[in-house]
Amino acid sequence: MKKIYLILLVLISLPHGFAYSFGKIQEEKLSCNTLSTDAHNTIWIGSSSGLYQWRNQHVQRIGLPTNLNITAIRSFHHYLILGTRKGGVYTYSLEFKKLNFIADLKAEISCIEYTNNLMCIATKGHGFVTINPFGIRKYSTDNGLKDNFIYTVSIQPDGSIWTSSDMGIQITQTNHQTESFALNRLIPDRLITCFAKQNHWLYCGTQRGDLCKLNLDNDSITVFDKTSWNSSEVHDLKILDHSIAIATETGAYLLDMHGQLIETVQTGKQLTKVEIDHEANLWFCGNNILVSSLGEQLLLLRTLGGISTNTTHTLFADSSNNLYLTPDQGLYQYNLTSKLLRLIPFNTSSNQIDITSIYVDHYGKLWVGTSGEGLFLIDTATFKCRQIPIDSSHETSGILSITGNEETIWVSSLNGVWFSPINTSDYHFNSLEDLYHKKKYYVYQVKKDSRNNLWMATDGQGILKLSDGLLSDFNTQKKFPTKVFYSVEEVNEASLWLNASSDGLYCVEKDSIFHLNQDNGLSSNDILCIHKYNDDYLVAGSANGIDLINVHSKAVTGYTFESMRTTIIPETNSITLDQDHHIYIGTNYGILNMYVPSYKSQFVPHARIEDILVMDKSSLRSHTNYSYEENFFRFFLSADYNSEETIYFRYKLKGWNENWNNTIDKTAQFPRLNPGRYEFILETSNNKNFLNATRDTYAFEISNPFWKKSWFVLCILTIFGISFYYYVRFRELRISRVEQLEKEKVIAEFETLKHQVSPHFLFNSFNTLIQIIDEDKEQAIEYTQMLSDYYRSLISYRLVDLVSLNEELMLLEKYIYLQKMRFGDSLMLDNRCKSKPICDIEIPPLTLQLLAENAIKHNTVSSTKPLTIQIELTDDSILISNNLNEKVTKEAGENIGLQNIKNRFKLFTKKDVEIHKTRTKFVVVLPILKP
Amino acid sequence: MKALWFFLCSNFTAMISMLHFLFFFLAGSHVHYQTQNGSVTFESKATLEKIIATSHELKGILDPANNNFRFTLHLNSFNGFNSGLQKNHYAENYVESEQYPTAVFNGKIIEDINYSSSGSYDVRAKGDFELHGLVSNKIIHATLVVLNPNQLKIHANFELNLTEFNIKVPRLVHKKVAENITINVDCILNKQ
Repeated sequence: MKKIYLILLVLISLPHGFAYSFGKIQEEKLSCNTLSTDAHNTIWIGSSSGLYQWRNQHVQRIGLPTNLNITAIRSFHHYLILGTRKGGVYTYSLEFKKLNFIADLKAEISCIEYTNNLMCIATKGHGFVTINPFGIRKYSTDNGLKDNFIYTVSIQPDGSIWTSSDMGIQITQTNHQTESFALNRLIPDRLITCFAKQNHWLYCGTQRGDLCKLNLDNDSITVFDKTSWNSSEVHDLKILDHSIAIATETGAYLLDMHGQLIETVQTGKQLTKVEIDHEANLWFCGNNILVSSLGEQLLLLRTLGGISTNTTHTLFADSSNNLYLTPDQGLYQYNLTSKLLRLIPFNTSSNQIDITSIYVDHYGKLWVGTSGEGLFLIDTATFKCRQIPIDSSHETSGILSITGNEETIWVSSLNGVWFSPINTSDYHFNSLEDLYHKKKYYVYQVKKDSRNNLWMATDGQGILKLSDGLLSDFNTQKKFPTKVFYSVEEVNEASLWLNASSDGLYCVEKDSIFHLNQDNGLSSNDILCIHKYNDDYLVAGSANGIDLINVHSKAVTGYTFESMRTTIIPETNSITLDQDHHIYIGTNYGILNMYVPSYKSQFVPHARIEDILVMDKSSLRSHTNYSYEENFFRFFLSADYNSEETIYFRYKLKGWNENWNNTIDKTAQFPRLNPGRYEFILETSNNKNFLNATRDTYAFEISNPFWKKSWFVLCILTIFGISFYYYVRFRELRISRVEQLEKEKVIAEFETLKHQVSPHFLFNSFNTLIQIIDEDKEQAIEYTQMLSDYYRSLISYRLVDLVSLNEELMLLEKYIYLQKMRFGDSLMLDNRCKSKPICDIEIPPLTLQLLAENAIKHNTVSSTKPLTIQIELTDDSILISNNLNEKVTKEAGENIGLQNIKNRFKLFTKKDVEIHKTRTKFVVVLPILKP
Repeated sequence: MKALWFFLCSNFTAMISMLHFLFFFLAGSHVHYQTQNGSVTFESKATLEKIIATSHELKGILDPANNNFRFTLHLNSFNGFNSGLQKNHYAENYVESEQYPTAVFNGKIIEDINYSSSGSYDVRAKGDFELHGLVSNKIIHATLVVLNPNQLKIHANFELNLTEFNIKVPRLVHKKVAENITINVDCILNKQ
């Protein structure tokens, strides 16, 4: 957007005295309809092409649809309420930057007001709507309104709503009844386009261009004379502390409370709206124009009461609101209340008289000091003038300043300070330096403070202080580097300000001295004049501008003369303060009138992080947690300040770098931030030293990636630990099982071998063999072969854990064969599993044989009591049973064999080996093991 | 089918406006002032050419009870251009009278008027001015003369800004057509 700065150089000579405008045109190709300020001191501009804001000294477009022709704006907490030409009402969230449609009121929105929970939206043609927590209510001619075309709405403290319309002002009471304003008949035009109510005064502007003031107490009206600002229509007005700002069809003006023109801000253009920002600047807008003005804060009065105020050397305002001034020629008294100017006749021998100082003493007498002509005393009632002799020397006639109290008057001159008692008719002056035996210097200023100390600002001797009859060298005490001082000013009991020549200002406080200069905010080191404004502020004037200094914080608010074409140089001795808290400063170009309005709430730029971009996406202030991938941060820096002033920015990112970065481009960027906690701090100030800087901070955190988070690490460690534990345990279990198996097998083998190799078995076998050798030789050979086969199998089994049931049965059969030779038919094996498929059934070796052995061992085997061993196969078990004919004498070792079988099966299966013993039968149930 | 629908629609809007007109009549008192042949002159004073055209077909109605009025004018009824071609240009390119055939000024008179005795008033007529499809709220200063209780004379002289009504003058002829057009209205309204 192209922006054109034009310096306003409109000077119109007017009979009443007029002011030069400290304003500037921010002319834009923008048809502005309306203006509004928000809590952050941002100026919002509603135009026919959408919403704009004034920020960082230029106009920025807000990304809203361009077809929104915004005619009314009102800031409301973190929102803007927008009204359009077509009647749409929208909210715009400043935080989320989102537009929301609220309602369609079908006619152009003219005004939106909000007070005490009541919002009032007025339309041009459809009355107005109120919104409060209890609901929405429409007011139109249908329910009592006199006219539907509303220009302005105002909510009064009592809850009544005042609206101005084509039919004058109408008042809607809290009971929703509307009545016509009784004094409408007094107003010259019924088309009241704008109004403002202040206490018992009502100010109205009309379509015909009238501006009037109604006294609501006594029903009287004052219609202002509009010749000085001839206007065809008053569009908007604002009542300020001592003036009225109006936006009219033909220009923008500042008027005094009586309708007299003070300042022409802009002429020749239609202006529709006036707004005040937090710095007390006035803003006017119209079609293709946006104008800002310092308003009543700083005015340059080029004339006063009809005379030119050029080169006003000396100014003094007394307690009865008279301003004594000395423009080029003569001495004048100007009454600030009645605006009456009187020339004070000054009858001296010389034609050219140079007045350097004016003082009105405790008794109302006017003292005038001149350069070369000495001291004069003027009676303010009669204006009779007489010269008061001080000293015969020529230097003494060069008076520089005058001060006094109830008893004494002090006069400083090129020949030191002279004093005289005041409450006599015969003044007799004595030299102060002679009294204290000091050398006489030029004394630029002599001043009495509230504690009755006398201060002298000298050329060459620094500051001298006369306290309790003691003259002391303040310079040596405080070790000031300079010895030339122009003036001394006590702002309050705790702070004394000294104006050093070309060295800024020194503030002397109880224990400390503060040096204020160009580096920490002062407009210039060459301060020409200083004056107390009130207990908190000091005013300092230089050729660069006027500074308003907060004596507590030392913050400087500057009003610069940059927009002026001419150099303005304040005069050293001409600064004064009137009863209404206006500072008057005489300059080469007129009298500056400075005032701090009551509605000025902001004095220094406030730092603001305007926008945060994370990975090029706008982030909200409330959002403070970012993932490790969101590591590219950009901050847009801004200051909530509209006045044209140099603003310095510096920032640092705590957690990244502790050093301040000074910057002029209003962005700060940080690519690739590591995970961690950060705090972005922005400071703005109007001075390079960042004295009284304001700051804005934004703390945020970039989190670690999840694999670096402690919970994740802990989780992984736990899983690893648990699995390691289980692995170790499993491994140990397996090892112990293998060991157990080995052990059991060894035991089984041992048992078997023990039995088989036991002499019984061998003897029995050999006996059997001897018997059959004789009877049947072939059988004996077979027997011997079987025996050796049996032993071989026995030995080969020693090495395996499991054998197939088939093999085991074959071994059992061999064994039974061998035993059968001994017992004959008394021993029988009933193998019932021959018919069934048994190939995939496994069994620990020698199990069956061990059971058969046990059966033979514990039972009687004879022809009368035969032993039948029966083997059966069910779905999940092998049953080995035998009929029971127990021997009378029990053989030992029964349990060892059975226990061994049980243990060995436990290694392979969870199922138990069951042993059932009845009266006639002994049954062992072995679970089937499948590979 | 589409054409039929369009026809119905356009007739419907015409009907609605007629009803509106009727309603306007009946809403006020039965007494009203009316004209059928008021004269309107427009004057364009550009650097190179001066164009004057006049229409005598201004229709208007004024309700004395509430000061409401409505004036309508068929834009094609203007005559007196410097050439026939100019008139065509005016109708086709500028006011686009085929699409927007009428200019309407509908509103109320701000000032109070005593219709029963003769007298002259400087009045402000405030209302919606519709031209070229655009509506703008305007205040027009006029002189209203009550000639006798049965007759009113209205005279008004005002300027219209072409850009305000989105009437675009081509660059080549901007020296021939003025940005601001002066309109002169004279009419006599009779009591009905």
